[in-house]
Amino acid sequence: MASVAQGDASALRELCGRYERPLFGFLHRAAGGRDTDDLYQETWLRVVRAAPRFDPARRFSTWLFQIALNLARDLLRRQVAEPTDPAILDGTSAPGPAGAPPDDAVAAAHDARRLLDALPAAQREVVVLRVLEDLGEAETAAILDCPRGTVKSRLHHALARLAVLVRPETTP
Amino acid sequence: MSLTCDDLLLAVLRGDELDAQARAHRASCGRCAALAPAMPGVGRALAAGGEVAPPPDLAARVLSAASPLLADHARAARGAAVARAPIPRDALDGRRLAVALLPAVLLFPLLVVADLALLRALHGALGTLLPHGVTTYLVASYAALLAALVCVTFASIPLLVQRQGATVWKERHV
Repeated sequence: MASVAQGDASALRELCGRYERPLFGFLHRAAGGRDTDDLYQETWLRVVRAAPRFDPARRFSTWLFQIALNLARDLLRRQVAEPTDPAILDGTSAPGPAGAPPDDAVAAAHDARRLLDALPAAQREVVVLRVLEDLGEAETAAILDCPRGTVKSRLHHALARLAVLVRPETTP
Repeated sequence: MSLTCDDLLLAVLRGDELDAQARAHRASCGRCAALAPAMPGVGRALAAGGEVAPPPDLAARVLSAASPLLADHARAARGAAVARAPIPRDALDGRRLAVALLPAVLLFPLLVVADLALLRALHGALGTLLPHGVTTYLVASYAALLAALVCVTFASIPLLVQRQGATVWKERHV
C-alpha cells in the first residue's frame, strides 16, 4: 500500500491480482449481481485515492472489503425503488436468451441468489463474509463495524432461516 | 476451546468431518440437532452460485482509470521528497550571486557619498538650533543607524540569492 501511495502502478497491479477473485465474488454476492464491474472499479479507485491516508497498522483486506461493502450498500439503497421481475424473485424463471431454456448452472446460480435475497441485508452480509468468503468472525465484525456478538447472532438467525428455505436432506 | 452451535453448523454446512466433540455437541444440543440436517443443503445451494469470474479486461480497466490518481500520488511523493532533501551546494548559482551583488557594489560609493552629504546637512541644520555636543550626539547616532542599515542590507543579498536558488532548484526537481 505504501508503494501505491507513492504512485507505483506495479504495486497496484499486484494488489488487484491478489484480491481480484475474492473481491469480485464478494461484490457480486453483496450487490446481488448488479453492476459488479463498476463497483469493483470504484472500489479500487477509492483505495488508490485514500492510499496516502491508509493506516499500515490496519489489515488491508479488512479495509478493502469495508470499502466494497459500503459501495454495495450504497448501490442497493439507490436501486431499492427499482422494480424487480417478480418471476425472478419467485424463482419460476431464470434470465437467458429469449425463449431459450436456462442451463443448469444459470438456474443454480439463480437459486443461490434467491436464497441470499431472501435474507435481510444485515444477515446476508454476514453469510457472504462468514460462509462464502470464509472470513473469520473477528474480521467479519471489523468489516461490518459491529461487535462479534452481533455477527454471531446474525449468523444464527440467517442459518435458521436458510434451513427453513432449503429442504432438509434427511428428516431428523 | 469450546464449540459453539454456529461453529458446528458451519462445519456441517461446509461438509467438514466432525470430530468427537462436535458429534457429542450435535447429539446433546436441540437447536443443532434440528438445524444440522438442513445445513448440507444450504451449503450446496449457496455454493451452486459458483465462483464468479471477473471479465478478463477488468484489471486493465482499473489500472487505466487509476493512472491519473497514481500520477498525482507520484508527483506529491516527489515533491515531499525534494522538500525534505537538503539543497545541494551546486544548486546555488555563483553567477547569480555575482549579478545580484554587482549593482549593490557599484552603488555603494554613491550611497556613502549621499549619506555623508545628508549627515553634513543635518549637522549644519541642528547646529543652528542645539548646543554643539547634543548636535554631535544626534548626528553620530543617526550615522551609526545608517551604517547598521547598510550592513544588514548588503549582508542579506547573498542570503536572498541562496533562497531564490533553492526555490528554483526545487521547482525544477518536483
